[in-house]
Amino acid sequence: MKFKALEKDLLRYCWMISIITAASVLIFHNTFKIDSNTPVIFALLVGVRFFILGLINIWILKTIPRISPAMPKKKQRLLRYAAGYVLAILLFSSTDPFEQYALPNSGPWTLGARLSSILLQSMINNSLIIIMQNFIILQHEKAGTDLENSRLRAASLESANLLLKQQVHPHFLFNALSMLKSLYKTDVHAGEAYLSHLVSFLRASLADRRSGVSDLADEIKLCKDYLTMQQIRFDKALVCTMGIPEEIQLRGAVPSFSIQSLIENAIKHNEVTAASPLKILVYYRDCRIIVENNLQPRTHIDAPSGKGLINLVERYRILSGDEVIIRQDNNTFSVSIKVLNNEDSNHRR
Amino acid sequence: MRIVIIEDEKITADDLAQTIMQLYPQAWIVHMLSTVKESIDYFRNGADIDLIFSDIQLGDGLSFEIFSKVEIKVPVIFCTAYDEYTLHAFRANGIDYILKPFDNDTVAAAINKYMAFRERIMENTLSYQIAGTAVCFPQAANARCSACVL
Repeated sequence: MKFKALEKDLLRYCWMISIITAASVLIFHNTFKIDSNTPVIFALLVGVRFFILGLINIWILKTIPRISPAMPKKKQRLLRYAAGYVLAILLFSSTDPFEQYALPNSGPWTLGARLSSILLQSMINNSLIIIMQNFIILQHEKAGTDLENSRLRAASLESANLLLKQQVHPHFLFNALSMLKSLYKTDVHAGEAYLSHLVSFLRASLADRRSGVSDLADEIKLCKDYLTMQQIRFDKALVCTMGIPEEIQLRGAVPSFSIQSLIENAIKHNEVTAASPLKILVYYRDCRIIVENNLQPRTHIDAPSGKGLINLVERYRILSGDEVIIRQDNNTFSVSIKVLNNEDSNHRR
Repeated sequence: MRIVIIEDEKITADDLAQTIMQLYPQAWIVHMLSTVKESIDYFRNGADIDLIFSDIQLGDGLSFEIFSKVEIKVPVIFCTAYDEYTLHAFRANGIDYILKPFDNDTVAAAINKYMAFRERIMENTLSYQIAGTAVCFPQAANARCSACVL
């Protein structure tokens, strides 16, 4: 699809440049009164040659990647140039008789003179065409990157929106409220504690976080609120250990809700039963935070947004360009994210 | 009225049981199940119950898996925090759907619905039985008569 547009453009320019060269040959003839009895035919010849050469180059451009798609870009380009020049020489030598006809009095015919003329003409013509084509290709690539940029911007906005939806998912909210109601009936103090965790979680969720980054300490607190709530819900079926050094918590920053969403993902995708508890481990190693759990996948996932992890990867790409490392073996699943610098969260944007 | 509760949150299960007992002291909570596996085992062994209260999302899957793996001829009242499985519930013996957090009124309404169904069905089976005996009697009489003759 993309190539189609480029091809069209190349063809259009090819037409244009052929007409221009033909016209300039005519003008040249008229101004300098060069002795030629068939200036129109000569101009036509120049134009047609240019056009055919243009077509040949477009064909080469199209064919090389099709024949050898694995070839490195640089090699492809060299091959393209070489093929272009070879075919240009062929074209000019095969159309030489026409030139003889159009310019009969260009001096006595000698092989050396003809060869040098053909070589010179084909080199100049082909170089012009290659320059033109490269210019058009460059333009197209630039348009492509511009488009990609605006797409990225849109994606970042979308992921920010998605983030909100994900955090205060109706499932979570109604489950929490239901739990709260039951707790108030059985254990008022537990209900109170639960409510205060819920409130602080909601407050963090609704906070205006334009940068999308929060201090690690805040994120950890959020996770603790979330985990306490889930712990009350799942009791012995969930075991979660968080061990992140104090000084890292003070210095570091992470995308808002990143660790929380990883914990949530683990709960969402794995079996959480007292018979086989889900064990989540959150720890720090080599400037990264790792969220790890024992792998016991659920057959059916409720409310699969399918976007949680992808969203996080996307956010990391926009924020810092760092990779999110996802590892899975028979028994464990782990996601590791880079700890960002604290300053980022305060001064970004 | 023998009731089984399927619910992975212990606290919610207790609350539900308490609510039911409060509303219908004659009800009897036979068992509280918390996972799909446990429930399948329980129902495979043949349980004599009248009504099931079931959460939809359990720790190890959806409760619909239970009903698809074991044939259960008991009406189910589903309770869930978020309503997106209504259609599935219909296919799994669902007679009502309670949204959490539930209150006494919604639980009472669901149980009343069950009772109304049961009464209606009992009436029907009763009339069938009466009709059945009515047809049966003369035959039996005839049989006896013929025995008499012999």
